[in-house]
Parts: sequence; C-alpha cells; structure tokens
Amino acid sequence: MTVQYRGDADPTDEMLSAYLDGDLSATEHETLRAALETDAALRERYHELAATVSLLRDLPVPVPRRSFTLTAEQAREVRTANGIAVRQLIDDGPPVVRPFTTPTVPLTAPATATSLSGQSPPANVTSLRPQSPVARLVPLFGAWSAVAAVLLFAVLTMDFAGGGGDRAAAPQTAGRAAEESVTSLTPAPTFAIAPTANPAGAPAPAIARSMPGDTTTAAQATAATTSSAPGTSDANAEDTNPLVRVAEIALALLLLTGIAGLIVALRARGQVPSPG
Amino acid sequence: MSWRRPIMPEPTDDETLVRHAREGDVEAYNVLVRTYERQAYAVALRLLRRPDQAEDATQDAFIQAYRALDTFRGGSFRAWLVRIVTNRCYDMLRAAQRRAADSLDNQEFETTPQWSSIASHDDPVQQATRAELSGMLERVLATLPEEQRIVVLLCDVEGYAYEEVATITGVALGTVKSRLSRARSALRERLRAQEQFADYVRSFTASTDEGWGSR
Repeated sequence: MTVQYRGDADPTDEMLSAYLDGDLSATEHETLRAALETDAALRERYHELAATVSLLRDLPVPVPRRSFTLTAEQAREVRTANGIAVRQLIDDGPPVVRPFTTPTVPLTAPATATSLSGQSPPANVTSLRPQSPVARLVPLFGAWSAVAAVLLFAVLTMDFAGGGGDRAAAPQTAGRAAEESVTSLTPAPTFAIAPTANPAGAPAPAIARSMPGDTTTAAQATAATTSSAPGTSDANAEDTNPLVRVAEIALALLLLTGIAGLIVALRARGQVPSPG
Repeated sequence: MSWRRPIMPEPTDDETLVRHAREGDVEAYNVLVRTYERQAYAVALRLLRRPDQAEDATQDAFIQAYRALDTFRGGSFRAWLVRIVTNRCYDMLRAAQRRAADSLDNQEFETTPQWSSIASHDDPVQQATRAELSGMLERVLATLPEEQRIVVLLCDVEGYAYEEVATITGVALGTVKSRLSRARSALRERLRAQEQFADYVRSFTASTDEGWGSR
C-alpha cells in the first residue's frame, strides 16, 4: 500500500492521519483497518493520534470583544481612496501605474510592517500630482532665464553706452539695443542656428533652392548672405568689441535655453497643456 | 466514532453578497463580516496570542478585504478572507521580531481571551483532565514551526477543508496533508509526556463507536 505524500513525515503516521480523515482509497483503508486489528502497537499509536485531534477540535472558541463590521465612514474612506486613484488616471494625462493589490499597511494597529511578497500596499494617497524630476526644475530654469536676460540687457546697454557715444541717449539705448539685438543676431548665419531661425530667412530659402543641386546658386546665395553679415557687422564694428559681441550672443543663447527649459518643466508639472 | 473530513462551505450565498458589496452595498459586506468574524479572530488570536493585537489584525483584514473585493475570484470566501488575516498576522509577527519583542517565545496568552462556553457531556473528572490537557496543548501549539502550526490550526482547530488550507497557505494539497501529519505527530509526542494523557486516550477510545475510525 503506497500513499503519496510530500515531505519527510513518518509514513506510518501519515497513513494513520489520512485514515483518520477518511482520505485513503477504499483498498488502502481496508488494508490499514486489518493491520490495526492485529497490531496492538499500531492501534495504540492510532488511538493517541485520534485523541490528540479530538483535543484540538475541542479547544475553546475565543470570542472577540467587539464586532468588526465596517461603519459607513470606513466604507466611504475605502471607496473614496479607490475613487481618487481612478480620477488620477483620467485627469493627469500620463498614466500613473498604481496597482491596487491587497494592502498591508496597518490602519489601526501601531505595529508597522513591510509587505509580504506578492502584496504591496496601495499607499496612502497623499499627493495627487506626482512631481517628476523635470517638473522640479521650474525654479532653476526660471532663475536661469532671468539671470541670462539681465546679463544680456546689461551687456547690450554697456555695448551701446560705450560704443555709439554720439547716438546714445540713455532712454534710447534700450530701443536701439532691441533693434541692434535683432541685427546682431543676423550674422548668425555663420553659426549653426541660422538655418533654423526664421528671422534669418535668407539662408533658408537659399538652401532650399539649392536642393535641386544648383550649387553655384547656393554658393552665391550663401556668399551674399555671409557678405551681408560682415556688412552688418562692419556697420557695428566700430561700435562693438568682438568679445562683447560673443558675450551678447552667448547670453542670448542662454536666455533661449532657459526659456525652453522653463516651458518643458512647466509642461511636466502640468500647468502648461502639452500640444496634441 | 464517525469521522468525516471537513468539506468546503457552499459558496453561492457568499458570492452573491460579495457582488452586492462590490456595487457599494456595505450592509451586504457586513453580513459577510458577521458570518466570519469569529473564525477570523480565532485564527488571529492563536497566531498572535494577544487579544488586542488579534482584534487589530482582524479589523485590518476586514478593511483590506473590502478594499480588495475585486480580487475575489469565487470559491471559498472564508479561505480568501483568512488568507488576508494570516498574512496580516505574519506581518505583525515579523515586525515584532524585528523589534526583538518576546512575542514569539511567549507561550501563554498575554491577556486571557474570552472563551465561549462549550456544553460538555464529559463527567467532571474527564472534563478536568481535558481542560488541563487542552491548556497544555494550547502552549505546545505555539511552539510548533510556523508552517505546521497554521495547518493544524486551520484543519483541526478551526475545521477547514484541505483545499481551503491549501488556498490560505498557498501550498499544494499534498504539502498540506504532510504538514498536518507532522504537526499531529509532534503534538501527540508532547502530550504523551503528560501522565493524564494515557487515561484520556483510554476513556476517549472507550467512548467511540469503533476504534479504527470509519468513513
């Protein structure tokens, strides 16, 4: 007679245990019953096992001091927590993956516990808007843009206050600085941003026209553009130190970068709607 | 003595109640709570051995179960619920272990639980013997390895079917039976050391219809 059980339990006890529970096949049961009739030691072992189980079954039943029914308030809290999690998925756009598994965080007991494998706490919903790392950069980009703007303004002011003495009245330098800042940007065709910057419209069409392969035209167009750049810069050459010019351009770039970063960070925070 | 293996309870009514509870009917859920709260508490108490902690664990488990009703896929609601209860208890025991509390070595109940009165047909002597042996059994139960303790607690003390215990503990049916057998053997060995046990076995055997057990 073989009974399949796992583990290293005593096989005789395992059979007696199964016999006690009526968990043997008819054949196995009959075989063991016959053995019990003839083997006194086996019989004694069985009786002791049965008596043990009888004591276990008759252990007193503990009575809790209270009922554990849910109050309307508790039920509402649970449903509200569920509702918040659902709303979060709808309103915030980017999906928030918050698995709703059986929680293990204690609600009443002071004992804290880590979760058993397979069960993670749903986490108290303390923040409805998770802050991505990019969103936290809003102040940084804001400060960056502000500093770049101030420095650029200062340099431009210095530029025209120091360079064009006979045409610079203080109130006018701001306006001039604005105009000059546009023209000072146009030499940019020599820099990488030129083809993409719309104000420098000339190089782009030139390049577009050159696509069919008319390199001479492109060369002439580019030459014309670049010749205009020195021309523009020549107009300012007497007024502006090249180093200052570089500073102006660098600060302008920093300002643009800062503004771009600010927009990205504000979008990540959710305060500026993303396109599409 | 006729002995029948416990069978799983009929799930139909419980599943109906769960369905209503999912739709927001708190009273339907509370019917389930009232049906199973004593069983849940009994398991928690014998695992934690502290009535106040057992009450906390039971309350937590019922709230967790309400929150996770969508994960109940049918079958024995009792088993699904008690799984949550035992997991909660294990969490608390492990937390206590990390704090170097002595709860694991404490074989007595910290405070005396309230027991229901059980009508006994024994004569007074046998009743006294049984009470003494039961007290000893309770202490020995607490010293069993965790995997054996939970199985014998659920199968023999609480009367769950093997299949339910497999669900609750997350192990195979054969493993449940094996652990149960080992637990029973270990408890029997401890009881053998008690002089009253031999007398009890004699009177117990004499009071059963048939010495070999029947199907």
